[in-house]
Amino acid sequence: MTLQSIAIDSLLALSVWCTLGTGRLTLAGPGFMAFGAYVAFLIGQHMHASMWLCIVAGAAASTLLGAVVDLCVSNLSNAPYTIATLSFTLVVPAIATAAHVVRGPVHPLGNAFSAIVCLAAGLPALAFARDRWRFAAGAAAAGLAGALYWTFGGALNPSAFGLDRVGVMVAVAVVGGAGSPLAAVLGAVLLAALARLAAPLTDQALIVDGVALIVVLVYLPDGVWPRLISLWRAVSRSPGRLADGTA
Amino acid sequence: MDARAAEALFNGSVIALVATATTVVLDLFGFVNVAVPASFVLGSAGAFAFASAAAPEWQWIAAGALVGLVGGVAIDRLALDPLRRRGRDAAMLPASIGASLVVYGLSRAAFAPGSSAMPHAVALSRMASIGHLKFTGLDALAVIVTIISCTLLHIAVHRTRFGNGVRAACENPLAAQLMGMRIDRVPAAAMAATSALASTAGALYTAHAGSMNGGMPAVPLLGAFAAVALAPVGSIGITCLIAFALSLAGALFAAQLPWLPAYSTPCALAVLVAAGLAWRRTRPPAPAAIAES
Repeated sequence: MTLQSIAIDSLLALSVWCTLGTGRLTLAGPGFMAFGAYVAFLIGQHMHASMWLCIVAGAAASTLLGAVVDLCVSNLSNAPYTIATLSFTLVVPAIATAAHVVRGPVHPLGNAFSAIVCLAAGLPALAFARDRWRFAAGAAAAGLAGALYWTFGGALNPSAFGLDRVGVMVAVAVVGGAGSPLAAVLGAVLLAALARLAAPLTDQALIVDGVALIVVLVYLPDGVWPRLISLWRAVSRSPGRLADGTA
Repeated sequence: MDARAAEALFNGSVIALVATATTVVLDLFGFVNVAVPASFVLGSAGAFAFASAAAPEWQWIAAGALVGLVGGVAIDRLALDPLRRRGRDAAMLPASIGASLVVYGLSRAAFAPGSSAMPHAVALSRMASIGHLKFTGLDALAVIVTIISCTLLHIAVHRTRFGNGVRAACENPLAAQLMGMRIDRVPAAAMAATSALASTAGALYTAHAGSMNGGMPAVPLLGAFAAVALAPVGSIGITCLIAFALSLAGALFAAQLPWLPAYSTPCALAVLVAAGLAWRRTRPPAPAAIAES
């Protein structure tokens, strides 16, 4: 379950990573995640399509919706942009729940292999997301996360795509940092490891995520990935000095 | 329609309190405080704890507000103030998200996950009437608390030295300090006041619903965002009026057009948010702004 949740959190954080390059913090990821999950569910239920086709359809539908939403929000200044993207996240599951989109239980279909394949497919695609396609690429990643969440039999209710999902998404993205799409994976792995370490103290991973987010914002504002990269460069450039202990 | 009108006024009060908390922080600090729903949860938890301890019913709401007040100070001191001191205003939004994650986690650790039933508010559920309007004590309490608290906050923010002090402390801490402002305390007091508003909404909502949930429901939060988007930033009176108008309009539509599907409410609120933000974007600049430029 940890590998699967790491894959979902990484993909969701990648949706933030895509738009961070434009200086914006989008909070619409869980909304696109919900949309991808509902599309995958509906196609799987009504068309009896294969799991992989449902996943692709969920990601594609989120990409299209992302392109439309981007047209609406791209010119907004920071605070209205936050309100718009957060409202989008709230409204998608609220509409789906009120419309009784999900009927009956959702059965798990996916496994660790599908999680790795989705993450591996998402990373290189997002690395090439440029300019005006950043938001839609982020929506694709979030939609992929939603479809993946559906394959694991996750509950498709509003609380699954609510404000705490927004928080976890931002925590993973900020802890990982900017610079590379791999930073999102690093953030998800670090937070999962921290939650495992803190398990004797609390079983609430949200507390660990929140504390880690605040600590990183205060003491490591660029995130962990850039610090690791600079450390790696320092080590690789001066191996002799480090070995002498004079670095 | 009488009972539905009272229900709409109650819902309008909840939306008005949350919207006021959001717009005041946006006005004073310049960011959307995502910790407002977390303050709602704090108020909900405070009311639930006091109800479970068989405290008098009026204390449920007071406890919720008090928990939110203390929580607001804690959020400001632990999450926002360190960033403010380092001049990282852009990090306020993610920091408020981090604070809300901690609150959600603590709330779920302290109370059973999911919805928890609490004792019924007997005294506050008694019916009263003015003319044709029938309402419960809780409905009346919600409206009165909303009007009084929002009026007091409006006076504090726009008519006293406190509001100017918060703005000065956020925009130019050094100048504010030279003017004799306590820049370490003034922003915390503003965050505490807005947090208390949101947590009062949480306490009222929980007492009305008769159960505690680990998060803030989406529809009231969407309503609050719609009110914030439609009203001028920082205008407490207009924000409250829009919140009540939205709630009453929703009740009116539900009564007159019962065939409307349930998802029409979130759809309508989303459209209102979009319309408000689009209007804000295309609105011509005020004459004062033109003169300054």
